[in-house]
Amino acid sequence: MTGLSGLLLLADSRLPAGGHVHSGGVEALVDRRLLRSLPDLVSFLDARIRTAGLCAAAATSVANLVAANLVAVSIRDDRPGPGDGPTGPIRTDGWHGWDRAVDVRTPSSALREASRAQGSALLRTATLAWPGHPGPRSLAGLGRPHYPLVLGAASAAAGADPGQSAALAVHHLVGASAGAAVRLLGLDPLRVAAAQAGLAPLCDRVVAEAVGVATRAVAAGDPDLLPADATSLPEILAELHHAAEVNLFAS
Amino acid sequence: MKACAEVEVEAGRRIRWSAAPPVVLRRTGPTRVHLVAAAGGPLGGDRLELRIRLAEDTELTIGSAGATVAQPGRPGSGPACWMVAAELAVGARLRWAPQPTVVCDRAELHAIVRVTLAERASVLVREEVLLGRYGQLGGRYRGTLSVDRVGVPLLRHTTVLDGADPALCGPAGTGGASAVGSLLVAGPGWCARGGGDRTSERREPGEKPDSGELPGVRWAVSELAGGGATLLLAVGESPRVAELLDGAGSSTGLDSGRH
Repeated sequence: MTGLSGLLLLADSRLPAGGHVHSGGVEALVDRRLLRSLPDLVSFLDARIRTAGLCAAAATSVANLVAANLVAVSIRDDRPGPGDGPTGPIRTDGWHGWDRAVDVRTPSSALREASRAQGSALLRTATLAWPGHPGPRSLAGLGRPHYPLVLGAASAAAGADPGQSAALAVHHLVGASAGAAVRLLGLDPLRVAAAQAGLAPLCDRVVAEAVGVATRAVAAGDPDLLPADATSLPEILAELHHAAEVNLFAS
Repeated sequence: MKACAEVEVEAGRRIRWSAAPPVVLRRTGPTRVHLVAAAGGPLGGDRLELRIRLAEDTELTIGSAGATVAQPGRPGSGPACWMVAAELAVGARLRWAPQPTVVCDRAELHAIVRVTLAERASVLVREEVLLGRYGQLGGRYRGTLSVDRVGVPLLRHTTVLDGADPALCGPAGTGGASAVGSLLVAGPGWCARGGGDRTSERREPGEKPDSGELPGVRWAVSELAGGGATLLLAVGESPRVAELLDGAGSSTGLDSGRH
């Protein structure tokens, strides 16, 4: 299987990409005693995977397809292009609409900032890790791109396909929340891992849906086809958490 | 049932409308119309639509005479769809502030509000959704708010609720609350603010809007990407959410209260 080692590198929470400072909304809930137990965490993840997870997976999958198309274009045109090494011209035109799509689906300014901060951190790692691939390098032209776009472009550079990149997005959403819950609530890590395994079929269903949507959106060149599913409490608490003075996690 | 009603404010400020039962309009002021319920529902399978057009520099407020109560249709009838599409020309101002939508047990409602703004156009969209009638958990709801400003997307937001889905009523959903509300304010010179008179002292216009929490309600106000627009989201118990939206709307300088 090509790209598996690169994919595993991007799935590793030890990769220096700043993910460890985000709790996926868990800290704000724990602070308010709205999330207190393992069953609460499972309920939280269940809803997050189907809403925020679907949106993140679709955007990541889009970015994987867009980045792969950049390579296809530079090969097909057989002309000096962004794939020809670090000195090639950088095309950013294809990314703006998708970056905007994430912006308009993230009404919380705190969550937009968290996404751009994480995107920038991963982009630094990805441009060094895969300097010859046009995906991450062209995204750098946006300045601080959103995290799902960077994750998708980096996964394409690593050789992963749209489905694998969507799975990666859901994996990080679940991992950040589960890891934070273990630290903040002192939950048994073994039982948390078992709960995550129990949610794997749901993750797979959401990934399949996300890839279908992303494929149609890229084929039509239409960001409006992307999902914008959201729930009330996470978006509201993200803003309240951002305004709080003492936080362990940035989001 | 399938129905499409229209309302238009022409350049001379004349209001023209066509009713399509059960979507029926009544004029209630020089720049105001109300939706009046001409039937129960919407029921599963209904496809109801309201198209709104505002000419240059015109103004319109749309309220509703009663709550919208989404009920289940016959088995297999699918969701009820309620679509509101508004096109605002340069400098036009629209206030969309209907009474709450109640989603009954086993009902499924897809509500879409789509607003297109030209230069200097302003819109206020106030929405309140209650899960279930008394003693009910509530049905399924997807509420999409989609706003474009001068050809550029400003907001795509779909609120997902399901009173019978424990996860969507849990810590990543409504946290057990039965009401959600939102107040979108976009356009020159408007800003939304949480709390109103109840929680905070009067502030100068243009100051950063508030987010906060009180017994029975939590809310956040965010400036949208691109600027010039804010979205207030609230979750809690029904009277508290309504009070919050009323207070926030009044501090925009425009009355968002229900008429």
